[in-house]
Amino acid sequence: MKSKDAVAAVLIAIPFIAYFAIPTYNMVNPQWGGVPFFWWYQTVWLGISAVLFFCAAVLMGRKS
Amino acid sequence: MALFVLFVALGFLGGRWRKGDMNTLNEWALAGKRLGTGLVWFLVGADLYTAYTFVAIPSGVFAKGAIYFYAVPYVSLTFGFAIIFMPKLWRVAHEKGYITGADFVKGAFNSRTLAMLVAVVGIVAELPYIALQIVGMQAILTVMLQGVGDVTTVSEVSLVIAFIVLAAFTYTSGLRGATLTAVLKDILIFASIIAVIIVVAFGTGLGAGFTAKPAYSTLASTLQNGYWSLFLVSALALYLYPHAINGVLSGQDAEKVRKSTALLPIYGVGLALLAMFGVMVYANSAASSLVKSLGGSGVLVVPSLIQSVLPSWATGIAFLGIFIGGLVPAAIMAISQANLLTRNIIKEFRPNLTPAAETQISKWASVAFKFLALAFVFVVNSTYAVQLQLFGGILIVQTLPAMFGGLLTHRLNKNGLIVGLVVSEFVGVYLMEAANNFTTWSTTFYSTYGFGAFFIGATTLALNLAIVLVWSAVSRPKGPTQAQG
Repeated sequence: MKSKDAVAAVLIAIPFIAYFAIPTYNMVNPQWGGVPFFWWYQTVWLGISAVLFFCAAVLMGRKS
Repeated sequence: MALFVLFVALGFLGGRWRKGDMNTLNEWALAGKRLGTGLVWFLVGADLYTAYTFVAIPSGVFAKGAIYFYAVPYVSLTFGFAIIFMPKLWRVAHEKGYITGADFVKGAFNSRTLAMLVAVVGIVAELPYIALQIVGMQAILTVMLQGVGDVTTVSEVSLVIAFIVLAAFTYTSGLRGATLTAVLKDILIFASIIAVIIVVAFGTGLGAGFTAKPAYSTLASTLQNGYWSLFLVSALALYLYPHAINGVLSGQDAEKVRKSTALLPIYGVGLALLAMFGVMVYANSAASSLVKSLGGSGVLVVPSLIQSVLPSWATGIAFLGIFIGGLVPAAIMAISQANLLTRNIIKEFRPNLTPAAETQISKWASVAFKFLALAFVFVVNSTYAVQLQLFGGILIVQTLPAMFGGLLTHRLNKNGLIVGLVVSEFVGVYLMEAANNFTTWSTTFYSTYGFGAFFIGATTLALNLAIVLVWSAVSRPKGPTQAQG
């Protein structure tokens, strides 16, 4: 039960780390269809966040 | 227009859906706590697809560029916080019969004063957020009615219509009507965004706006602190709003709430695309000139771009979706305000209120609050409409120590919480005024000496937390005065 919570915490933390690391995505290239990296990269992370959060939610719900 | 009438009918019929006694507050405001997973997903999602998404953020991007893309990390991370805290809140609330955040604070800290303060802050913080929805509905009507009269008249008439529809809708429908229409509007909005993106992608290309406005491609390095402080505080703030708590508590069980919340970042993809509309408009001459001819305000960016790009029938559908997108959230917000007023303020003074009287007061109060919200429409330059929501965030996030703190520990001192809340609210309002030189609001950044520009909400939350923690630490040796839950 404890380890499941720890894994869930890590899964939730990943998007936080990604978004807080602003210098890693504050750039123009590589572009995607003319859209700068800054804009599309953060949009893609929305999808990744949903997957990670959902896994975390399932783990947290499976206690007891 | 025909669709518009259909929707209104649906909204009012929603009141009769899944029978319940509409004269009790619980029914009107929480739809009898019988909403399932899918509907909760849409209901909380409805709080996202508001005028904030299709008016405030695109207009901020239009005016200032990449900094207002903070909305994307905000939308992701807020649900990270939510899946940790909200199921806990749901369980406590379910066990003890709480229906508002202030109920919880009262129980957790055994303090009526703190609970009432939290209720007052909740009510006030919703006002600028509702004002933003009114601005959004007004923007749609302005573009729809263009040419009927001169620009000023059209914009004023639009404001009046938006306001009347909103007041009537909330009064008659309650949360049931709101949920049903939330599903409809989200489908309309998603379809419209995709249509515009496809047309733009095959026309000028999605990147043309960035070519026309290269400075918007990335974030200026001086704004990085502003960027993360904006998305962090906004992420913390969303689930402190009374309407968001209301949405969570209307779910059927804690784990369903958690799972449906976890998937909500997907909803944010539409928000990200809409934010980019604020840049795309620079590459579309028809849309740019339409915005200019209607006064040049950024709030008109999305409706103008839609009208310039899509055929007229599709524009009608899109406008309907966006109009409802302001209407439904505003109704949900007003309902949650009314809830706080009756349960956590009036009932403290008049405990013998009958359920029927309680509901009656709530319904009328929700109409009255809309007039107060309207006042906020006039303190903000409409291009910077996003400041309305950000100001609400500065106010509401100060209830974080009491709410999330109360979910984590009972060791916080209630007097420390009260002082922290009151002081940080006053400092927040002062900094907001000072940052804007006491004129119309166009920024929420205040330069902290030596650290560069931060979102005011971050500065004041830090102050608040410092007061609460120091106070709680200092007063502990005197014994656990606040331990009973």
